[in-house]
Amino acid sequence: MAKITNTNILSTFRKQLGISKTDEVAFVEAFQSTFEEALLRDKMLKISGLGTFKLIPVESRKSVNVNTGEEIEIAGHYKLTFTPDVALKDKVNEPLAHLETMELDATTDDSSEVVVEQLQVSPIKEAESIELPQSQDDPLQKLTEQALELKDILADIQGFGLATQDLVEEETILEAQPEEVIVEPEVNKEEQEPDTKEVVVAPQEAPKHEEPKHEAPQTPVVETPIVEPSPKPQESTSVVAKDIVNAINQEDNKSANKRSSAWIWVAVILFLGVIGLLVYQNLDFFSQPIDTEVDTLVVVNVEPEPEVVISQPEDSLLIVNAEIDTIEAIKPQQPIDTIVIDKTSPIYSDQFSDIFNRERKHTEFIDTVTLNEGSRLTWISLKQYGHKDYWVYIYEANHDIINNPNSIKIGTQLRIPKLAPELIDTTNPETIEYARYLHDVYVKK
Amino acid sequence: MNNKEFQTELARRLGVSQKRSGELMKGYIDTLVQQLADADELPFLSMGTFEVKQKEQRIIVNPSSKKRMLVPPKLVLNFKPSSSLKNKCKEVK
Repeated sequence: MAKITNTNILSTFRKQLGISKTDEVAFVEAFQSTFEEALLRDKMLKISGLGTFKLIPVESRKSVNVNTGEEIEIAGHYKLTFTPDVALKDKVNEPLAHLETMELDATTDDSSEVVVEQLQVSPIKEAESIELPQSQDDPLQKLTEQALELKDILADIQGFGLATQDLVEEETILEAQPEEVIVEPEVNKEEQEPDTKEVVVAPQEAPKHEEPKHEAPQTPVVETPIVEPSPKPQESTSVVAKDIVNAINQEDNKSANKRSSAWIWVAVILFLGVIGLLVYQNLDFFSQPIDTEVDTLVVVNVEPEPEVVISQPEDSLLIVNAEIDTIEAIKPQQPIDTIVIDKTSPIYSDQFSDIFNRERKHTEFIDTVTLNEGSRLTWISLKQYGHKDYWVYIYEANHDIINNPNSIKIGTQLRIPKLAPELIDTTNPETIEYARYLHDVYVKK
Repeated sequence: MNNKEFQTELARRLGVSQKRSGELMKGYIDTLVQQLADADELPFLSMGTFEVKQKEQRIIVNPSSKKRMLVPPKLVLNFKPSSSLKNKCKEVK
């Protein structure tokens, strides 16, 4: 819509009244001057058919210059306001005149609002409503994209999981692989001499003899020299045999690579298992220098390179396995030890025996601890004395409060007794041993 | 100043009868209002512009009955004085 100018209005005005341009100009000038003068003089002017113009006083107020931060005072002045006639007001509002103020029920609250919004004729609103579906599409698109990305990531993870599985499987069927490789050429050259068959059989048997050691990647290389000289058949078959041997070598090399990676995985898994066991044993290994076997095992497993295993004497892996067995046996081993002690009362070096045998009367206390959820006597002991096995002394001191050391009510106030330093000497294994002996006595009581 | 006084003053300045000045005034205002039906903005000589603006719908609560009422949107007429007229207004003491 073209912008309506004063000239547009005045030309239509001239046509409607049938007056000349000079008259029109004169009228406009007179109208303007009268308007201004009357307004400025009376501060109020009413024109019928249009409305009321009013000059309203504005009081002076303080403000701040945005640029300088200086305080300035805006002087009081008059401002012009316009109130349209009721007739003009209605005429302007004609497009929306059919809308009426309506009561909002609690139930039809939202729906009525929506209806009114739809009724609106404003072009701005229409434009907005057109834009709405687009803006809704965008998040949808983003969602689908994200879903696709997630799928990809999931697929990756699954693929990775399969890969690791493959590695483990390779490790387990290592012996089967070379056999298969060898069998293939065998089937192809069925008409060959029995000699070649023997050659083929030889590597088959070899891994079975060596068993665990065979898993090392170097072993196939060691095998091959044995294989190469052995074929002594006719010339025609010898060529074929060499081909077979070469094929075996290649396959072995390939499988050797695979094995080395699998070997690293096995070592890592073993190492993690050992760490898990150590954690399970809960600091016992670090505080007790008794288990020397474990230390050596850790050294073996820390080095994932297979050559180390090979350089070790035969059946080194078997030893490793045996050691693992011992580690697994340690958990049950502990109670066995204590049971033995229980049967034959512990024998201690003379300097300690009197300390242990002296009757303890816990009269001095260094602290009181309130049990809350998750508290353990062993943990309190670890905090107070530096070792979890000394909890028995706390139990002794609070014997009157605690019925069952395995279940103490939350909120119980425990007194922590002051103990002779020799009794809680963590560097002395005998004190721990004695504490464990007491543990068995109290728990089985 | 009311409409009649304005009419008289206009007649005096134009040197025409009050009736004629009244006719001219009415003719001009009618033309103006007619144009207003088609346009959102309308110049009012050099005094300023008339603007049609939409007031959004709103919810009111009757203080006594606590009933919630929805006031529909409506179109209102605003007058925006020109800067020259505004400045003249400010000079008024």
